[in-house]
Parts: sequence; C-alpha cells; structure tokens
Amino acid sequence: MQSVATAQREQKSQVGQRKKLKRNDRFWLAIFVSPNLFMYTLFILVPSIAGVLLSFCEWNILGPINWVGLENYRRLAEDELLLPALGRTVQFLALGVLPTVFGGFLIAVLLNWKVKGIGVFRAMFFLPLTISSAVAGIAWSSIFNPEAGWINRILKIFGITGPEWLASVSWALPSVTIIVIWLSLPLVIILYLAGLQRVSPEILEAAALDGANAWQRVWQIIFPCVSATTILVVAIEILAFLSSPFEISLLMVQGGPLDSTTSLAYYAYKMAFEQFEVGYSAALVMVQFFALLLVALPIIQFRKYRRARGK
Amino acid sequence: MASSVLFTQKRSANFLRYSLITLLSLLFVFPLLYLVSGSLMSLEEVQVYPPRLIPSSLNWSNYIEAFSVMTPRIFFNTLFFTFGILILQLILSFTAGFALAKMPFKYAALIVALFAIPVFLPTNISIIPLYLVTYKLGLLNTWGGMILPIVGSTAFGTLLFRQFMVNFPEGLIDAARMDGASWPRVLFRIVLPLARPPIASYSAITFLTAWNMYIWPLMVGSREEFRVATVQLAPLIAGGTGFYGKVGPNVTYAAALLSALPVVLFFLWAQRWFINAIAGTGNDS
Repeated sequence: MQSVATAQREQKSQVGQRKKLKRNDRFWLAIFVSPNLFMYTLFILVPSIAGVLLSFCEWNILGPINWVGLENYRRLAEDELLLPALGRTVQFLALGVLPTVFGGFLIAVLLNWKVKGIGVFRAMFFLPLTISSAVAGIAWSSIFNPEAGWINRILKIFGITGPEWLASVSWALPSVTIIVIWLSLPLVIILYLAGLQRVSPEILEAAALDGANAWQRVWQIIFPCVSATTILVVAIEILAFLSSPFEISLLMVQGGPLDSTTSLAYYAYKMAFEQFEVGYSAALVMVQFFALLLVALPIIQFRKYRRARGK
Repeated sequence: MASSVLFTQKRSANFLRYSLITLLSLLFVFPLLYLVSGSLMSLEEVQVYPPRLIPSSLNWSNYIEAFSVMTPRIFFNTLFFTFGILILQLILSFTAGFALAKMPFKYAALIVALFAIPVFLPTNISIIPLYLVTYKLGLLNTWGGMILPIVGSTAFGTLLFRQFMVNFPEGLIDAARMDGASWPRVLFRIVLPLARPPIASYSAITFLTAWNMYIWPLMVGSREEFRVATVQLAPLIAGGTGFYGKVGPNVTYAAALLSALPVVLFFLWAQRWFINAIAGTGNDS
C-alpha cells in the first residue's frame, strides 16, 4: 500500500501535478494554519471589527450595548475637548517626526564608517531600543527634574533659568516629545544604516573630486539615494508619534499638567477607562484613523501620479 | 606635495568625525549613564544640589534593596510572560508561514491578505474589545489572559516566516516528500534547521517587545502574582511631581537597571539578529 502511494505521488510530481493536495495533506494544512488563524481572529480581527462597530453604540461597560447610529460622531462636533486634544497630537507629530528622521539620518551617515571601534558607538545609539518606557521614564524624570536635574543644571552654567519641564503646562509636551525622539532614534538609525549600504562609493568619490564638500555630499547625493528608506521611516515615525507619546505621558505625567500632554489617543483612553464611555471613545479613535487617511491618501495618490508620469 | 596636503586634510576630517561621534554618543546615552552612576550613590548624594556625576563611594547595597522592588517573583513573571508569548507565537507563525508558502491551497492568498489588515487599523481601536473578549473568556488576572491575546497578534511573524519559506528551495521539500516524509517531518527535519536566521530575528524582536510591554499587562494582570517589571516600576517614576515612591531615587535607579539588564545583555549578545530583523523590513521595499 505504502509503496503504491509513494509511486503514485512520484508519478504525479513528475507530471507536475503536485499542486493538488490530498486528504492527508489537507489534514496537516489544517493543523498548521487553523490554530494561528483562530487566535488571530479571536484576539485581533474580531476586536478590531468590534471596535469599529462600537463607535456606533452607546455603552458604559456595565449596562447593555445600545446602537445609536451616528450619534457619537454628531457628538464629536460639540466636544470642546476634542480640538485641543487633536491639536496636541498634531504638535507631537510636528515637533517629533522631522527631528527624528533627519537626526537619525545624520547619525547614521556618521556611523556608516568602516573603522575599528565603530561597533561600540553603534551599540550606544541602539541602546534605547532595549529600554522599556518605564525605565526611560525613570531615567528622564531625573534628567528633567527642575531643581536637581542635569538639563537645568547645564542651562544655569550659561546663566539661563530652565523651565519646569514636565511640571510646566507649556514645556511638558516638548519634554515628552524629546523622550519619544530618544526612544525612536535607534530604529531610524538602523534603517538608514541598512539603506546607506546601497549608496555606491563611486558616486561619492566622483562628487568629492568635483569639489563637493562633505555637507553638500550628504544632502545632495546621499540623502536622495536613500529616499526609499526615508519614505519608510517617515511612515513609521508618523505612526510612532501618534501612539508612543500616549504611553510616555501616561507613565510620567498622566496626561497633565492640566491636560497639556493629553493627545487624541490619550483622550480616547480616558474616555473609556475613566468616564466609561466606550462607544464615544471608539469614535474618538476613528477620528484619528480618518485624519490619518486624509493625510495619507493624497500622498499615495501623488506618488502614483509621479510614478506613472516617470514611466 | 599635493597628496600630503590631502592626507593631512583627511586626517583632520577623520579626527573631527571621531570627536563628533564620541560627543554625540555620550550625550545620547547620558540618561542611562546617569542612571548607573546615581544607582551607586547614597541617598543624600543623589539628591544633592548641584547634582554629582560620579558617586563618591560605591553603594552596592542599593542593589540589594532594589531586589525588594524587583523581587524574584517579578523577574519570574516577566520571564514567563515574555517566553510564553515568544514560544507560543513562534509555533503558530512558523507552521502557518510554512503552510501558506509551501502547501498550495485555494485560500492561501486570502489568508495572507487577512494578516495585512491590522496594518491599516489604529491599534487603539481593538484594545477595549480585546479586554472585553478576555473578560468574557474569564481570563482576567490569569496567565492565559496575559499571554494568549498577545500571542494572537501573529501577523508579523506569519508574514516574516512565509516570506522566508517562499524563497526556500522547492527541490529539498519535493525530494523529502517523494521519499515519503510526512509534512511535519519536512517542516521540523528539513526546513527548521535551515530557518535559524528568520527564527533568530523573530525571537529577538518579540523578546524585546514582550519584555517591555506595559499597557496590556497593566490592564489584565496588575495583581502581584502576575505583575511584570514595567508594571512594578511605573509607580516609581517621579514624572513632573518630583516625588518618589517608598524607595529613594538611588534604589529606583538600581531597580530600573536590574529590570533592563537581561534585555541589554541579550541585545549586546544577539545584536546582529536585531539589526537583521529590523533592516530586513526596510530592504523589502
């Protein structure tokens, strides 16, 4: 029996008909795929879809879930806290994304150097990647301490009285941004270092011979060469600065002082876990989703258009 | 003559570059360096103004006290949580990634597309329903509730392994199949030994993510039996108020370093796999 089956299989494979699975194969296929698919559906797909549906419902966790249609979305218009929260999210993005991308690029260019000992410096720049937000919170709250912290100590040497940083309504948001930049830079540097390996040294040498100085070479030759990495990094960092300030703010200042670090994501979290308005919280999250879509779609369209014209 | 001018120019440029890298990297890791230094200071010294850079005496006893924050129980919980996620998710993603690449069937493309959905949805949208699912399954404050919902986020691993398997030589699998090897045999005896690079990359990324996870373990397992390092450390963060918890800042720093140490050591040891895993995602585009 066994040998007949093997012979058949052999024959089939020789004819090139292996593409059809047998009953025994289907059994193993099910064993391999279904546990994964089941877990993924139960814990990712269903909650995601449920989240979208909840934005059309009213629910306070304890009571019944009531379908209210677009009521939550109508309520967004009269929510006086929504625009400030959205504004803070925009501030996190505006202050954070560009310094992270350009800073990461420049550091990667510096580190893209084949000399002895460079690995030690690279490892130093990768280190925050391994640090949890909680540990980062502990380290940075000592640095930002208005009295005993190092930043204000150094500013004082130059005769500047530093702000209260995390305790100040106007400086808490930039402080949280700095911490998120610090936590995000390793990833950006790693991606750019990978991208830089594809810049051909010949082009750089030719440019150097043509009299381009280092700064010109970096921006006019290297930077355009890694544009694919830049697009990826910008996309990753936009998503990072939409979500990471929430965790840092939750850990360090709980959205304060006076809501000054309450981003849209944080506001949605508060709405669900402090006010128990789960449906409205879901609608707030959807606002962020639609806002992102509104920004992303024209960019994707523009790239398609440019690519189509280029070809 | 001209070449010697070029040479000195090059040497001074190299010196400049070295200095710049040294200065920037020291500045960059300063918050962590100060954490190390402060963790060895006495309570008076760490709070003195102006702040000191180097401890006048090494107070290793801070680390002994820090073990009352980062108790063996907390370490065990963090390890159990991390490896629970790592191993279960690895098994699920590895087998499914193989099947989706090498066992042709009608719905393979559909399932692959299904795994790409979370990329387009905001992560926050699912957290409350996820909490609800966990609650309805009776898994709040259990290891199952801590680990299984995170194991469910198999998209990254599955797509990573599928990508590797797609490029895996068809001939090796065909030959084994013709010799009558069963699918599990093919997977574990032939593919697995050659799949070390993607497994290492996956493990590095997942280990790091799970070890540092905060919000989910806080929501589901904040009781001491399940509490992980991040949840234990969070209340010790001074934040804007400048007030510390029941232990001094020096002991807090020591506890923070104790919690970070396993990951930092692991990272330094397996750095290549972290870098490959991350850089790989960029090279596909």
